[in-house]
Amino acid sequence: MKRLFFLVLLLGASLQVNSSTLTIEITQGAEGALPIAVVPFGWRGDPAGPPPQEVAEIIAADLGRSGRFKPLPTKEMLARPTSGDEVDFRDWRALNVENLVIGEVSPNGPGGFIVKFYLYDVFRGEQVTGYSIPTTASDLRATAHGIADIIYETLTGQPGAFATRIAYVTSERNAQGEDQVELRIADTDGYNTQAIVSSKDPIMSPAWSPDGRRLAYVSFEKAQPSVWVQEVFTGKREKIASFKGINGAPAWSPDGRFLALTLSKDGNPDIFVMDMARRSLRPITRHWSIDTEPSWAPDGKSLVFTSDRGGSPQIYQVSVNGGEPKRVSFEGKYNARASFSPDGKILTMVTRVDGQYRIATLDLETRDFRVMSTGRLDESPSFAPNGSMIIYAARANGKGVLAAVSTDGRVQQRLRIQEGDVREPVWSPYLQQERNR
Amino acid sequence: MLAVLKQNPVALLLAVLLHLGLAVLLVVGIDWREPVKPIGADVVVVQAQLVDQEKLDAEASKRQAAEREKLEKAAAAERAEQEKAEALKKRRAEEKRKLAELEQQKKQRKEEQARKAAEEKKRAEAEKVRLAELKRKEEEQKKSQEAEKKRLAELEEKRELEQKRLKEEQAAREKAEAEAKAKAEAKKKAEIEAQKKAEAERKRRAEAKARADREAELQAQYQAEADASEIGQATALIQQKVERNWLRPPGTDGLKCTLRVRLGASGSVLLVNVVKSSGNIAFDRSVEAAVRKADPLPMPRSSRLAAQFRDIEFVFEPGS
Repeated sequence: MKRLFFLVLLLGASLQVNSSTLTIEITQGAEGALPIAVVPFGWRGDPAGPPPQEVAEIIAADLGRSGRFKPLPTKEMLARPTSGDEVDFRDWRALNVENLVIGEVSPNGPGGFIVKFYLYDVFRGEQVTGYSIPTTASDLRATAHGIADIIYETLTGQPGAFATRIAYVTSERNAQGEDQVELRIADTDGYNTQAIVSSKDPIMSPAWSPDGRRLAYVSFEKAQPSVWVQEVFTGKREKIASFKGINGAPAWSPDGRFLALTLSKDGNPDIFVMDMARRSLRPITRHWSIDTEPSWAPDGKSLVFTSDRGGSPQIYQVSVNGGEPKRVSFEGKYNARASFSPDGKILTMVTRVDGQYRIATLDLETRDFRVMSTGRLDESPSFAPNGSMIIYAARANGKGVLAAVSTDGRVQQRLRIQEGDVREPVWSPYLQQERNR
Repeated sequence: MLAVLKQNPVALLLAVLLHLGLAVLLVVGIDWREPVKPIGADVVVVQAQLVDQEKLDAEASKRQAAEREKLEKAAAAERAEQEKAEALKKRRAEEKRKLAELEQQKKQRKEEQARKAAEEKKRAEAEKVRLAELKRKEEEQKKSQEAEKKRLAELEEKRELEQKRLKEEQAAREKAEAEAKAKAEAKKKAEIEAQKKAEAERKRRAEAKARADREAELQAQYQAEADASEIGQATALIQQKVERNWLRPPGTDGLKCTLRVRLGASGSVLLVNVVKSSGNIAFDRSVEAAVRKADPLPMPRSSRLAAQFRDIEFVFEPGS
C-alpha cells in the first residue's frame, strides 16, 4: 500500500563527500487535519468573576470545524501553560502536536477585557505570532473568532472565515400554533443568533450584499412574493421588486451595484438585472423555459442560472450583456442553485443522485464534478468567503439543519443550531467591521 | 723391457750396431800393431830379433847385387865410368854422406825406435788407458745405455705418466668438459628453469594481481553496492520517517516544496530551509514540520556515508 519511492542522486559510483546533495523525495503523507493545542486561557482577574466566554474553547471549535485543524482535547494536555515561560515544547512534541496556542484574559475596566494569545510552532520551538486584543464581554466571542481567523491565516495562508456570519431562515410553530418564520443571522459556529426579519409568511432566498451590511430576500408577505433589501444592523428595509408573478432569487453583483432577479412579469420566469441606483431592469434571458436562481461570477461579467430549457434543470452561464446562455452542467438530470466559489473556479450546486438531492461541486477548469454531501434532501449551498467550506441545509429528524462540508469534501459537519426547521443558509462575505477590528 | 724394446726397434738396432762397431774396432786395432817395420837393414836395433836381422841381411844382399849390376853396367860404360867414378866418388861422398846420413838415420831410427818403443809403450799405455777408457766408455756406454734404458724407461714411464697424465688430463678435461657441459646444461637448465620459474612467477603475479584487481574491483563493487544499499536503506528509512510524520494539508496534490535540511552527526535536525516554496503556506509548513517531527532522522551506520546525509534536500511532491 505504502509505495516507497525514493531517488538518490549520487555523482558517479564513488561515494565521496562532495557538494552533491542527497535528494529525498517525499510523495506520501497522510492527508489530514493539523494537530493543534489551544490551552485554556488564563484569567488574570478576580477568580470569582471569570470572563463570560471560554475564549480557547471557541477558538478550538472554530479551528476544528474548518476541517483543517484537529484540536487536542483539553483533558489530554500534559501541561496547561498560560504564558510563554511556562511552555515546554517537549510536552507538546510528545503528543505530536504541531502548533500550540496559549493565552490569557485580563480585565480592562468595567466590562472590558484584554485578550492576549501566542501561537507557537512546537517542533521549530518558536513563537509564530501573538496579539493583544482589547474587547468587551459582548464581543468576546467575536474576538475569539478573530483570533481563530488569525491562527488560521497564519498557519494555512488563507484568510479565516470564522468571524463572518451566516444568514438563514427558520420556521417554527409557536405556542399559538402559528408558523413563525424568521430570517436570522448567526456567528459561523451557530452562536450569537439574531433575527432580523420575523414573519408569519414564508421568507426565502436571503442574499448578502458584498459589504455584508445588507440582505436581500424574498418575502411572501401579503401572499405576494416580493424582493426586499434590508440593512442588517439597522433593520431598515426596502421593497425592491414586486412585479406581477414571481419576484425571486435576488443576487448581488460583486460590486454591489446590481441585483440579479428572477421575474415572471412577462409571463415566464427569466433573469433580469436591476441597477440598484436607478432601479432599472435589464433582461438577461428571454426564453419560454424557466430561468431562475442567478448567481454572479466573482468578476461580475457573467451569471450562472438554473434553466430547464434543455428538458431538465441544468446550470447555464450567460454574459451580463446577454447573449446565448451556455450550458455548464452535464452530470445527471437535475442540477440547480449554483453559486461561485470566491475565486470563481468552482461552482457548487444541488444535484440529484439516485433520487437524492445532494451538494456537488463542479471545477470549471477540470470539469471535475464531485458530490460532496450524503443527505437525502440537501439544498442551498454557498461558499464561505475564504472558499474553504460550503454551507448548506440538510434534513435531519424531519427538520432542516445547517451543515457544512470542506471544499475538498473531507470534513462534513452539522452546525450547532437548534432552532426548529432551518433552511436556506447563506454565508456572509467578510464583514468589514469585523476585519477592521 | 721386451715390450719397451719392441716398441723401440730403432733404439735397439742402434744399440746392437754400436756394440758391433766397438767389437770390430777392438780386433782391428790389434792387427794394426803387427806390420810395423824397421826403417834400415843395417840398423841395429837394440833388442832386435834375429828373424828380423836375417831379413834385413837378405834385403841388404839383394840390394848389393843390384848395386854390382849397377857397377858392371857402370864399368861397361867406361867414359861414363869416370864420370861414373866421379859420380861414384860423388856418389861415395854421397854414399858416405848417405852412410853418415844412414848412420844418422840409424841413430835416428834407433832413437826413433826408442822413441817408437816409448811411443809404443806410451801407446800401449795409452791403449791401456784407451781400453780402460773404452771399457770405461763401454761401461759408460753400458751405463749410459742403462741410463738410456733407464732414461727410456723413465721416458717410457714419463711417457706413460705423460700419457696417463694426458689421459688423466683428457679424462679430467673430458670430465671437466662433461662437468662444464653438465654445468652449462645445468646452468642452462637452471636458466630455463629460472626463466620458467620467473615466467611462472610472473604469471602467478599477474594472476595474483589480476585476482587482486578483480578482488579489489569486486570489493569496490561490493563496497559500492553495500554503500548504495546502505544509502538506499538510510534514505528509505528517512523517507519513511518523514512520510510518517507528514501531515499533508488536504487538497494539496500537485504542490511541490523543496527543503534543504542540515543534520547533526547523529541525524538531529539542525536547520530547515524552504529553498523552493510551493506557494502554499500550509503545505510549506507541513513539510517543514514533517522533517522536524522526524527529528532525529535515521542515519547510515557508517560515518563515512553519514557524512553525505548531513545536507539533504527533500522534495515533497504528493501524488507524484
